[in-house]
Amino acid sequence: MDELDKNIPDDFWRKAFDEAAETPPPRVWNSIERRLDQSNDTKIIPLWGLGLISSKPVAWGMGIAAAVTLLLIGWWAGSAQLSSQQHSSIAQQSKPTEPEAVKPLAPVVANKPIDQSVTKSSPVVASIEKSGQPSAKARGNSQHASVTPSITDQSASKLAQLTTAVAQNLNEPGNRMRTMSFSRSLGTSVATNESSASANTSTASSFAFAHSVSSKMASSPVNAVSFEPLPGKSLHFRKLGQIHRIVWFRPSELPLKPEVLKSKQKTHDVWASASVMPGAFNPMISLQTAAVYTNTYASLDAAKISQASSSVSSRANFSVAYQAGAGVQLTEHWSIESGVGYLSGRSTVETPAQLPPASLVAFAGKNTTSGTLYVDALKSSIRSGDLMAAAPQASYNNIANNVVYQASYANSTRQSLTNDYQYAQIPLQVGYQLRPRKRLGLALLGGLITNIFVRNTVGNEVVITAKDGVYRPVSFAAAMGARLRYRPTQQWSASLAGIYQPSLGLGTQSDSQVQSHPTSAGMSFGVDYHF
Amino acid sequence: MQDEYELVEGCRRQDRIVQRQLYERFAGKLFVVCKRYVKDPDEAEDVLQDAFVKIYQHIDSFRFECPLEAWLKRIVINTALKFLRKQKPWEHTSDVQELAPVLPQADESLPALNYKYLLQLIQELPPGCRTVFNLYAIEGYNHPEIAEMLDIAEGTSKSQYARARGLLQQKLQSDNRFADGYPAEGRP
Repeated sequence: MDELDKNIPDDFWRKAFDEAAETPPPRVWNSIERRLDQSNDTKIIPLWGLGLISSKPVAWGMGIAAAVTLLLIGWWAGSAQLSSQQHSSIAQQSKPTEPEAVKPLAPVVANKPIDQSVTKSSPVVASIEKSGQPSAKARGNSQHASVTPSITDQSASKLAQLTTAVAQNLNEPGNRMRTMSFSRSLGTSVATNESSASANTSTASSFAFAHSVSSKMASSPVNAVSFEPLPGKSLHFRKLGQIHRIVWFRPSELPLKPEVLKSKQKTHDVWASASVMPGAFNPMISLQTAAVYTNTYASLDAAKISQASSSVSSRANFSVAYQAGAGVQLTEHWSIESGVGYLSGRSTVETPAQLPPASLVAFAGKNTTSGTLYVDALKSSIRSGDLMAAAPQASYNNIANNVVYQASYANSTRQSLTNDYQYAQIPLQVGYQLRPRKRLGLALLGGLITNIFVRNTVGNEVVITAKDGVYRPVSFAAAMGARLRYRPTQQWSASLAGIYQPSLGLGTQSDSQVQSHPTSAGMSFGVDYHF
Repeated sequence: MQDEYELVEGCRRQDRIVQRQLYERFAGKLFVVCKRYVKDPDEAEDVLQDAFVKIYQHIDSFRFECPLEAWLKRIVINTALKFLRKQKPWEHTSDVQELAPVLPQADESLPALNYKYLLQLIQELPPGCRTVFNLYAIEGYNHPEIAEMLDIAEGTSKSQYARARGLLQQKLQSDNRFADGYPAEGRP
């Protein structure tokens, strides 16, 4: 017993707490249950079985492709390994090779009896290694030489030269077959047999030489060269069923998997959303009257012009906006969202119209005007283009203020023109959750929308684009509203939002005669996917 | 009372009712285990909560090779040690030789005491001493095992245990609970 255990009886403390129990507060079980619910909701998105991938032909095709890929990789790896470790055997006729081709490699080729070749071998080769196994075998009456040069990466190209030189010599008549076996191993060994009778003795040794190769090969009428791999270190697979050692161990504690994400980490909810917002779009059109007109023509036609300008009005029509975006819940209450959108806004403009007399057409120098004050003002605001190129600059400047031209518009003749605006939108807005972590959430939204003007088609005839300089290419609008979001599952939710988007500043250029303050409002319906 | 086998099988099916039954059956004892290791009640509840979540998640690894209660207790202890391991309370402690001479040599014979009083004594120990004392005196591990579990030297485990014993005996003497041979609380 431990010296320290003498004072207190054995098992005293153990027995004291053996039956001790204390009911934990109910909140413990509530927390456990909540965490279990969260862990059950943690689902894995399958890579297989979605949409097109789930179809059988595609699945089979992908499986076959994967199998072929694996086979190709295996073939490539195997061939790469073989090519680096061995060369296939070649049986060729050869005549003496050029010394220059052989010299860099310093192979050993002996076509004489072993004792003789040993005495004549060159000392150039640094290492001479004796092979324990016969590397050359006599085949028939031909002589066999086993050459196992040391092939380094630098000498690989030189080996190719040697092989080429040998191959060139093979076709010459009278040469005897020589077998050379190459292997990637340390040292260089060559065994040459003059006859099949001396094969056993010649293959038992290896030799090295450099300069004497050509002379010795020249003396041999027929050389048989074969490249054979030496037995290298191969993979040894442990035989099944033979258990060499059993290691018993006891883990120190139970293997514990990574803990489930706690609820605190779920505050950074990230979602992607797609929504469509039908609503109303009103460009709030008005015509700009210049001070020049007032000074020049005030006494004559001020009343008419003023009446004509104020009579150009626009009213909202049906519009629809599509938006794809993403958002992240920064804190329990605050979130930030952004995305891209497309707004197709329609409106109707009521403008005074005229029947263009021949004299005015001649004055304008062009008969493309539609005869409405609004369209003429739009055209006069165009900075460049075919229209202006065809008409004198002075004739279109300040048409809305031109008394002579303006006077011909009669309020009694009014015309309604449809305007089809197209904007690309980039919203950036923040949200404040009034009911965080609720299945039915409510949030207040506010932010800024960047409107990128694409085009405006007036009456299906006149198309004004951003290049015409009438509308600002980029304008800004405020966004405000409230969103109701129902989230039946952890991943999916549906949103219903009321959005009001008044423009911040003009939607047209400041010098344009047509002034616009576009405003849109609508109800947005969307679906969200929470990651 | 429901059989342990049925409890385990129900938990494997993630039957919430059976999970609740397992909790109600063992949570009381395991909560005391948590409080022996972790002094703060809120932290003890957290440890118990973590332990039960692990129990439900790893119930498949229970093979009925030991009593269910022992398996549950082992998980609770491991969870508590994991919680305490972040604080490393058993580091920076002196060796047993330094503390041995100052150990009180009183020869108290302690009767069965109220566990709440003993629990209070244990909770008043420094965290390192408390852990080693719990593992050695109550759970029944020896010092080499404790040293391996806490990744400390065996001498450190002994010194912590000796220190715990000394502090407990001093506390018992200072409370004067054995004037008549029995403590004021938990008298038979």
